Amino acid sequence: MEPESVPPDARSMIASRLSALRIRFLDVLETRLTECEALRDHLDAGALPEPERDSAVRALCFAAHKTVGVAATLGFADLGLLSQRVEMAASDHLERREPPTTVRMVVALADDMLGEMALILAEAGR
Amino acid sequence: MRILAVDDDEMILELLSASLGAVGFADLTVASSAAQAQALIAAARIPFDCFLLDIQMPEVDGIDLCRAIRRDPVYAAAPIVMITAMSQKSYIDRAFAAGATDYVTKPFEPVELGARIRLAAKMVEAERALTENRSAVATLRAQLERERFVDLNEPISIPDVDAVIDLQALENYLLQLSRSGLFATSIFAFKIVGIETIYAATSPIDFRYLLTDVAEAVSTALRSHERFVSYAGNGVYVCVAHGRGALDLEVIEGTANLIVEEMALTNSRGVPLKFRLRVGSPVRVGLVRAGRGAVDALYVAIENAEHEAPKAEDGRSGEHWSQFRLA
Repeated sequence: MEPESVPPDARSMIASRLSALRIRFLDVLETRLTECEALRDHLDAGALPEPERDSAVRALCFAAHKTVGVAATLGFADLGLLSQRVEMAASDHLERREPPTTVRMVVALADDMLGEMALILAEAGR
Repeated sequence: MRILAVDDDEMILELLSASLGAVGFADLTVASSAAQAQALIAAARIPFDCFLLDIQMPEVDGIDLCRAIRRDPVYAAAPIVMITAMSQKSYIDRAFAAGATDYVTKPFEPVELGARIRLAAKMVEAERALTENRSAVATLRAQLERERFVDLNEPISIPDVDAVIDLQALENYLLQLSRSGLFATSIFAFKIVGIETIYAATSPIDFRYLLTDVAEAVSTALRSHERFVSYAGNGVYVCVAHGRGALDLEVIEGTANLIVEEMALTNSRGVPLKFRLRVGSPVRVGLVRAGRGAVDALYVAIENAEHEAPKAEDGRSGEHWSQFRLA
């Protein structure tokens, strides 16, 4: 028999499970921060051939996409928002949408996201 | 409810597992790619009840996976909820065009997701209730078959065959007709040779089908005449035909047998049912047979068919009926 409504203790059970997942997420975030910083530095280093540049933007987009999916649910709403901006800007750049979104704009938004990641990790004592 | 969640992000899968488990949906299977999901679907002995699909996945994305799942008749009506960080209309349109049932954007609120899945669960329950109703119908049909047990001697009704009416109705018809005259009316009957053997070897439902098919053959063989045919039980069909001049019963018998032969009748297991029809001596009725006398003539014809037909196949089964083909 499936539940007709949310069980009374569901919210506390969800909170408890999310708490455990939050720790896992911080582990993932540490790795992701390192990877994204490397991508940002790569893009910031200077003129790159288009395929190489797009490849780095795509990787950054993917990392942001993965962060968007879980950050807010795990209590990191600001990180979710900043990651979403990176994802959308990177996607606009890769799709060559108008008005043009430059790599510099993507990198600037990525900086905001990375700053938030670093802050979360610092607050968690990492 | 068996749920299959597909996302290339392990964190999302863990999040789904934690969220759905807490709201009562613990039967969750996860896949990290469309290929893995398709393998799980193919191997599932019990079909999944609901799908949660991420849209943006490497190689085959969630929209293509949704389309592939929908192509499987088993999942034609299964709830497919798309879960993605992308909220752009084009993604939503494509997802629904591919057969998605619902759409949730990441980040999702676990309780809200639970509510959406419950909604999907209600759909599944409704579908299941429908299936159970179908099962109940099957049970009723089986019961009906038992109830529709046919006594060999019972003059059962054979519906939906041209000019075939109930025996009681035929009696009433003759009573009515006798008042205005039975001139040029012949009453005769056919008997299915070896009906006892056939009856013993067939299910009630198969026996009914057989009786119906033979009724059709007899009625068709008489189609150039005004006629009524009734099944009188024990493999006998009694016919009332009108026409100037004597009926050529040999031709009618041959034609009826040819039609039966060409029907290539089988039982529900595909076993051929081979038999012949024999016509009994006709009873010609006129004014002397008015009233109940006409009805009595009906039973005389039935007796003629009963007594004149061989009790079992008499080695004449190799007869050829093609010369009796109707024009």
